[in-house]
Formats: sequence, C-alpha cells, structure tokens
Amino acid sequence: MYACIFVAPLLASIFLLRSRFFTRRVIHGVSCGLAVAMLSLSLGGMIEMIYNQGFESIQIITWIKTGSFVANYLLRFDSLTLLMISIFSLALMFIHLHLIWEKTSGCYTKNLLFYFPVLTIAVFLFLSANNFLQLYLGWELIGVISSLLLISSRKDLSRAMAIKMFAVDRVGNLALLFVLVAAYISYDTIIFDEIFYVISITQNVKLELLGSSLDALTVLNILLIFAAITKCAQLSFQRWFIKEPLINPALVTFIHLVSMGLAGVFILIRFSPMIERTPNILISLSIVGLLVSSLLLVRALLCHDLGRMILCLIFSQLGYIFVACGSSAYIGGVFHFLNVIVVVALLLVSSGALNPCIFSNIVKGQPVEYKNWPPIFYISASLGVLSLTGFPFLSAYYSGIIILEASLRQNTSIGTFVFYASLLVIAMTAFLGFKILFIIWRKAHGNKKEVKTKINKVSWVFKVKLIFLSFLTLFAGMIGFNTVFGDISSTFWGNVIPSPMRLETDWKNIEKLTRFNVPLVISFFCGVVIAYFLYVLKPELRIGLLDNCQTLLARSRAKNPYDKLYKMVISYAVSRTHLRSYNELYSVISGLLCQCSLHKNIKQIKILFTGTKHQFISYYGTAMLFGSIVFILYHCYSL
Amino acid sequence: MTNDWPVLSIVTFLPLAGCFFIMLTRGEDEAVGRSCRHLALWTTIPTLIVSLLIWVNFDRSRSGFQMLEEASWISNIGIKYQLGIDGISMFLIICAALLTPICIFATWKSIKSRVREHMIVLLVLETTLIGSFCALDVFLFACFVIAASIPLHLMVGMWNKNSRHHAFFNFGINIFLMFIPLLGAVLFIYESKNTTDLIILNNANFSRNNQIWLFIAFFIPFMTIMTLFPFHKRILSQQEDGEIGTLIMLTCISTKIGVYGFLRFSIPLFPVATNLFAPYMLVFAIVIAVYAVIILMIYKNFKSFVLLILIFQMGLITIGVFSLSEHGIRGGVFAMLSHSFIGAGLIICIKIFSDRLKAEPGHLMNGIPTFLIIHVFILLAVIGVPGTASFIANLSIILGVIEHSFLTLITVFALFMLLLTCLLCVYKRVLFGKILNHNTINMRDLSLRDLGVLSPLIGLILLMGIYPMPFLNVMSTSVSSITNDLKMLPIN
Repeated sequence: MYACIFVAPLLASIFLLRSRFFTRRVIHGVSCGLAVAMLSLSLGGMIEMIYNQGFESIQIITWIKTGSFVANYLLRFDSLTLLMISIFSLALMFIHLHLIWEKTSGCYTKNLLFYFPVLTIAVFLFLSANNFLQLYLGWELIGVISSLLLISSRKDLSRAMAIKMFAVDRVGNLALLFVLVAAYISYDTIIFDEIFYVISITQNVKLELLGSSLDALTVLNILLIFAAITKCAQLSFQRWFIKEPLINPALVTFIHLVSMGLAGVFILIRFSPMIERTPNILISLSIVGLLVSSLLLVRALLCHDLGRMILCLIFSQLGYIFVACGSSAYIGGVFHFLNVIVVVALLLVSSGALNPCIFSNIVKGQPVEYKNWPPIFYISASLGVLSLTGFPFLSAYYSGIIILEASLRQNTSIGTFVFYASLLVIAMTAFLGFKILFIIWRKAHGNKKEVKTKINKVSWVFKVKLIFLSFLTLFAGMIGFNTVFGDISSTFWGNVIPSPMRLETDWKNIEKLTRFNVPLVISFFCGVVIAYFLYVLKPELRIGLLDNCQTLLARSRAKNPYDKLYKMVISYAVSRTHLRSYNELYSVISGLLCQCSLHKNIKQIKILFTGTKHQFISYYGTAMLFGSIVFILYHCYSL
Repeated sequence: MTNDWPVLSIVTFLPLAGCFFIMLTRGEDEAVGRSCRHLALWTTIPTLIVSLLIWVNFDRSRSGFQMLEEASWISNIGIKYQLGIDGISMFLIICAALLTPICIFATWKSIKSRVREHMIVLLVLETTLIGSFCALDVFLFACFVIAASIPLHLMVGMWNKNSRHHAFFNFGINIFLMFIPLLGAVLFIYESKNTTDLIILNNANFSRNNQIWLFIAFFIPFMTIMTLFPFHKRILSQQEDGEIGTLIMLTCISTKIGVYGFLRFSIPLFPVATNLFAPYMLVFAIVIAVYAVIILMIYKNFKSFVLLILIFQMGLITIGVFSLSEHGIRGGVFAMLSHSFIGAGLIICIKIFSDRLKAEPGHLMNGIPTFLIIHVFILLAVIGVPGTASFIANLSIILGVIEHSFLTLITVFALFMLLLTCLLCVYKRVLFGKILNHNTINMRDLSLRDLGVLSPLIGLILLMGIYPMPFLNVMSTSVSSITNDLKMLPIN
C-alpha cells in the first residue's frame, strides 16, 4: 500500500508528458484525483500505524556503496513521513481543485504543471529518506524545483530576486552537505537509525576541525538548524520573499511555502533525537524562533498591504514552530505546522482568487481598496486570520497550548523566558490579526447588486472548497488535539519523536497554571483589546505615538548613520577587490545585516484608519473586550 | 567472444579502417563530404558497440588487467605491443568511443570545407586516444600520446576560423616541449630496468631520487595535456573560433590522458615520490581551481565561461586523485567521465548559441523552451545538483579529501560556493539579461539532430547520477589496488 503512494506522482508526471490530447481541466482532474489518492493512502497508513506501531521500509536499489559509505534508495514510511505526505497531498489537492475552475490560466502552461508531480516526487524522496544522501537529494531537488516553479510562473520576476532565491537555497544545501560529510566522519555511517543508536550509547564523539576538537553532535545540530533556517526562510532569509511582490500568483507561492516550510520543519522533527541531546542548541533554536517571530510581527504591524502582512504572519508562525522545537514540543511543532498550512491554504486561496483586484495595485504602489468582495471571502479570510492568531478553540489555539505547556515544563529560567516571550508573540499576533480583520472589513459595504453578481461569478466548487477549508480551520485543531497530537500521541508517534528529556514529568503545579489555558487566552485577548483601543477607540493616540517614534528614530539615525557606513564599507570592498560578481551575494548578506532597520517602514503606516469605524469591527472589539473579562474572571474562579 | 578475439586491438584500430575507406572516396566536394560523414559515423558506431561489449565481458571481481594482448614489436630491444584494460581505462575507452560519433553528428553541417580531412583526423585521433588508454607498455603509451597530439594539432590549426596560425604555432610549441621530458623518462626507465612493460615495472623498485625525477618528468607532459596552468591558454585560444569537434576532443577526452597517466604510471610506479608530492599537487590543483574561478569572474564571454568551467573541473579531478584515498581517486575517475559528458553538453550548447545568434546570448527567458530546459539542466549538473553525475563525483572527492585534511575540505567547499556564484552570474545574464541580439527573439528551438546529439549525454549524466553503481562497482577493484599499493609503502 505504501509503495502506491510513491507511484501516484510518477503516474501524474507520465500522464502530463502525454497530455497534449487533453484539455487543461482533464489534466487537473487527473492530477487532483491522484493527489486525493495519495492523501487517502497516507491517511490509511496513519490509521494502520496507530494499530501496528513501527515503520515499514521498501528498498528500491543500492545507490552508492563504496567501503563503509552505503546509501540506498529507500522508502521509509513512519508516522512522521505519512503525516507530512498527507499535508503535502492536501495542499496539492487544493491547488489542482482551484486550477480546474480558474479562468485566467495564462501562466499555467503544461510545462509549468509538470513541475507539480516532479516536486511531489522530490518531496517523497525527502520525506521517506533513511540516510543523509537521499535526504540531501530530496532537499536539493525541492529547492531547485520550487525555485524553477516560481521563476517559470512569473514572467516579470526580477532577476535579482531569482538569483537571491537560488543563492539562499544553496547556502542551506551546502550546510546539509556539510552535515552529511561530518556525520560520515564522526559516526562512519550516514543512516539515521544507526547514527541515533550510536548517539544513544556513546557520548563525546569528537570532530577534528582545523586543529581543534569539537563535539560532533553539536556541530551536526548547528548545521542542521542552519539548514532548516534557510529552508524555512527564517532569520532574514525571508527578506527576498517578502520584499518583492511575490504573492502573485498565490497558488504557486502557496506550494512554494508548503514545500520549503515542510522541508525545514521535517528536518527539525526527524533529527529530534539528535537535537534533543544538546540543550544549548535547543535554547538557541527557541531564541531564533522568538526573534524571527517578533521581528516579523513588528514588520507586519508596520506595513499596510494585506499580502505582505499575511506573508509576515505566516513566516512568524514558522518561527513559532522553531520555538516549539526549541522547547522540545516537537509534536506541538508538527501540529502547529499542520494548522498553519490549513490556514495558509484558506488565506491564499481566498485572496488568490481575487489576484487582479488585490495585487495589481500593490505592484503599482497604489493604495488598495478591498471593497466589493463577495461575502464568502470576508468570512473565510476572517476565520483564517482568527485561527492563525490563536482564537480560543480554533486550530492554532490547541497547538499554542502544547507549545506553551512544554516551555513551562522545562522548569528553567530560559523556559520561563520562552513562556513569557511566547505570550508576547501571541499577543502581538492577536493584535496583527485584528489589524488584518480591520483592513479586510474596512469599506466592506459594497453595492448589494454588485456583490451578488460577483458571487454568481464564483464557481460552486470554489465556494465548497472555501467552506471545507473554513471548517478545517475551525475543527482541525480540535480533532488533532483529541487524536494524534493529544490522547493517542504516544501510540502514534512511537519512537519517531523521542520523549523530551529536559521536561519535568511531575508537572502538577504547571498543570494548575496552564489549566484552561488562562495565560494563552489572556495574552490573546490583551492583544485584541490593545488593537481595538488603538485602531478604533483612540486612533489619534496611535498616530501620535507613531509620529513621536518616527522623530526619535530619525534623530538616532542622524546620530548613528550606520546604514551609510555599511554601504560605504561594502562599496569600498567591492571596488577594491574587483569582485563585482559578488554583488548578489553582498546584497543577500546586506539583507541579513539590515534586517533590523524596520523604522524605514514607519512612513507607510501613516495611512489613517480613522473615520472608518465599521460596525463589525466595533462589535468584534467590544465582544472581545467583554469576552476577555468574562473569561479571565471565570478561570480565576476555577483556579 | 572477447576471450578469442583481440577486442582491444579491434576497438583501437577499427577507426583506422574507416580512414582507409574515406581516403578512397572520389567525386564532387559535396558528394565526397556526404560520403565521408556517413563512413566516419558508421565506423565509429561499431567501435562504440565493441567498446560496450568490452564492458559487458569485463569481470569486475578480478583485480589487475584483463583482456591482455601481447605481441613482439621491437624485438631487438624487448619492447612489446601490449594492451590490457582495468576498471579505470575501460570507461575512458567507452567515453572516447561515445564522444567521437557525437562529434561527427554535431559537426554534420558546420564543417563545410575539407570534410574528408576532418573525418580522417577525427578517426585517427580516436584510434590514438583509445590506444593510449589500452597501452600497457610505457613506450607504447608514449607513442600513442605523441601520435594523438598530431591530429589534435591539425584540428586546431586547420579548422580554426581566424587565428589559425597563432593557435597552430602555440599548440605546436606546447606539444614539442611537453614530450621531451616524457621521452626522456621512458628512455631512463628502459635504461635502468631494461624493460618498459608496465606489469613488470609495477613490481620494480626505483630509488627515491630516481622516483622524484621521474615523477617530475611525467608531471610536465601530463600537466600540459590536462591543460592546467600555465598551459590552459591553448584551450582558451580556441574559445572564439574553435570548431565543435576540436573543442570536445581537446577538452573532454584528450585532457583525460593526463589524469589517466598519473593514475596508471606516476602513482603506481613512483609511490614514494607520489606521497612526497601529493600535498604540493593538492595545493597546485586548488590554486588552479581558484585561478579558474577568478578568471571566470573577469571574463564576460559566455564561451570562455564554459572552457574555464572545464579547467576548474580538471583542478577538482586533480584534487580527488592526489588526495590518494580510495574515495578521492574513485571520485576523480568518476569526475573524469561526468566531466566529459557535461563538458561535451556545454560545448554543444554554446556552439548552438554562437552558430544561430552570431553573438552573446541574453534574455532567453522568453523563448526556446526545450533548449532552455536542456541548458539549465547542464548548468545544474555543473554545480553538482543531486541526481546528476557530477554530484556523485563531487561527493566522492569530498569524502576522499576529508581523509587528507579538513582544511582542504573547507577549501573545496569554498570552491563550490565560488563556482556557484559565477554560475549564477552567467545564469542571470543569459536567462534574464538584456537582449544583446535581436536574433534571440526569433531563435529557433532545437532541431531533431541537436536533440539526438544532446539526449545521450543528458541520459548518461542522469543515469550516472541516479544509479552510479554499475560504474562504481567496475572501477572499485582497480582503484583499491592503487590505494593498497600506496598503503603498503614503508613509513620512511
């Protein structure tokens, strides 16, 4: 049965090679059917995995065998692989479903469609790897095909961005190649299970590096995390993605996000038995995640176009998954990733359907009007935002609980710091969520007749898909929390994800604190309340604050012209060394260093939201205000 | 079949039989050209088939040389005509036998003058190249290598469109200089051991001083053949006007004689000197690779870029071979094969550009989809994307280099990064750059012939990347025997 999962994309690619006699709809229909088949098979496999613990391996051929260096083409199916395959097939299914009924198919040529099954094969090779070489093969193919997919789908893609995208990807690839080499030197094998076994029985394996002896495990983990950071576009590597108007076409961006994010998250989870043994690395992972999340949220708060805001929000959630892994809440990390993907699908599919009206103006630099959308988009987009921001009892709320609980269970000062910082991130996310809702619902009162016409233009399949996705965002968290990520998690995950070593087993005190998830709920509502206060009740206060902030930053910038200094140094280096070909790399590095110069964007947010007190926003804010008070009082009483 | 038939002699001299028939053709220029092309093609294809039969019949479990053929040649002084192959030379023979028909097919229309002469030169070159890969006598090897330089010399001089005299002269001087030490070394070996038989010499011990001098004497010609610094200019001089067949034979096959010479003669015969010189060779190879990359950054010419990539790859192969580890040497040999196919693909691509555009390519993103896919694939193969042959080669070289020193490993990683940077710059200019020539917009896509020429190369690059075991298994025994001999050396 498991082998059939791998056969589906192969069939799709063969079909696409011979697809000249079929129409676009037929091609998408077949591809979608195969994606559904993959999804069903992987879900079936997951159910089987619950009953028969363990994993199944199907060896295809021996790839390389020279001395002790042995690498096989092998399909290893365990719970993590099957879950990730399900997520990817789900995403693929949504894309094909959308493309079947899409009218504007200019850029979706058959050549471009050929990338989808090839990407699926690459993802499968990556997910089912049992050795570093196959992992590297899948990893690199995912990067290359994703980049080609983006380049091919965008004729107006700026060349600098294509180069940056490829360069950033290669940096991560080199890190993973280095991991492969270092693992082989240190443990004389590149097979995961053997490495995990060696790690469990021996300690202090050293790696001789330029005359100094380093802990092999620490070096491997640092490199793995660096590779995951580049793939998940964290720590400034997302700059190329957000800076350029890469949101269009939304579907290609979506598959790009899914494949790259999946690769990054998967690598963290797969190597959790290794990462778990280096507490310092885990701490730095949490710090990186927190830093990225908060910086991106600030950035999202400071920009005013919906597309970039959503992208920042998504990347900040990927950062939050890093926090989860750093807190040893690997299951929570996978769970959060699943929730993020579902929500991203909803957001990008709903907004992507309205590409021309949303994004054409952004590209031209004009203010965007969000009126005259059919109501179904308002509702689905609002639900997506609410789920992503951790609205109680929606999907991301449950994964948030697991992550917060794990951070507190570390019972260290760092764990406590991560806990409170995570609460701050949740509050900021809620604030941003409110802002996004505010933008979506602003001027929503269009002409009723016009709206009705728009609704009729939208196909019923598309509406059904949106409704299905909305339901998923509502209930996926609850279902997951009560099944594979909650009650039966130990049965399902088995030895794939190790039981966290640093966490306290006796955690009754913590349970008392986290019961009914008071901290999460409080921080969420606080974020919403502050947003309501600043955007609806007292917008003039917000504007005044921003003016002051801008004046302050302008002064500090005048005193410390580090930007100029930096540019001077770089231009001097380039001119002196005659290495002009490095300009692109320099620009990537400068992206890294100038990431913190967020204040430049403050100018953008001077767009006033005053005088747009729409009814819904007022009701929403007021409801949140009262709801939070009632919730807090009730839970304080319970404690 | 191969036990009864002298297959190595057949595969070596079959192209010469084709030459004989080509010389017999008479008539109008056009008719003669057509006949010569067909005759040459139908001579090289059986040669390729015979070389593949050698692979089929090769016993990979046996170490040492196989399919030995021996005959008295200069009986007075005991020099023999002796041929034999092992896992390393067999693939190089197949490579030469495969690339020659590809050259003929690729130059089907581009060569318009002196077609008969061109085909004869090409077939003679194939004979000499295959012969040098089969030779098990040092003198015979030297003869084949010197003989190979003559058709190469002619190809460079006669079909170079513009600066033929300059190229002809330069090439001649290089060739002349490089063979003096080689012949001197062969004579010295004969003088001291009274034989030039490689199998006997493998068991003979040279004194330390002799080994050092002989290693240097072999090093100079091999380095020249490999077109390493400072002899790379003879390749670069071909960049503008060099004909496609010349470029492929010069850069993709003949350069391999140098590496093969090191593996077959220098390393096994002079192990002490090899161990002594290995670190210097590594530094030398790294300097060459860095030099190639720096020149790559300066050169704006697309054709130079391709040739410099090939020089860079030769540096990388040298690094692998002189890491003196099993992985490294295996990686070096594998890289020789992958380099040949990728190099040939790249050269054919640039020639398609130059023939159709008559100018530098730029902004290809808007047209010629098939060509673009193939071109991007070959560029990805150059940087060693997994699934391509160069990935396996690079990986083996890296694994070999680790055993040598970590600093070298870091340098190799840095080199890969530098190569990537250069490649991205070219990629940017070619695919997204300004339209330098309006022919780009109307440039037609690949013809069936172009596809026919490129598809076996692409197929091999993919096959070697996805399933390299048939290649690795065959070369493993031979590589192990080389490294075992080195390990058995006394420590002092």
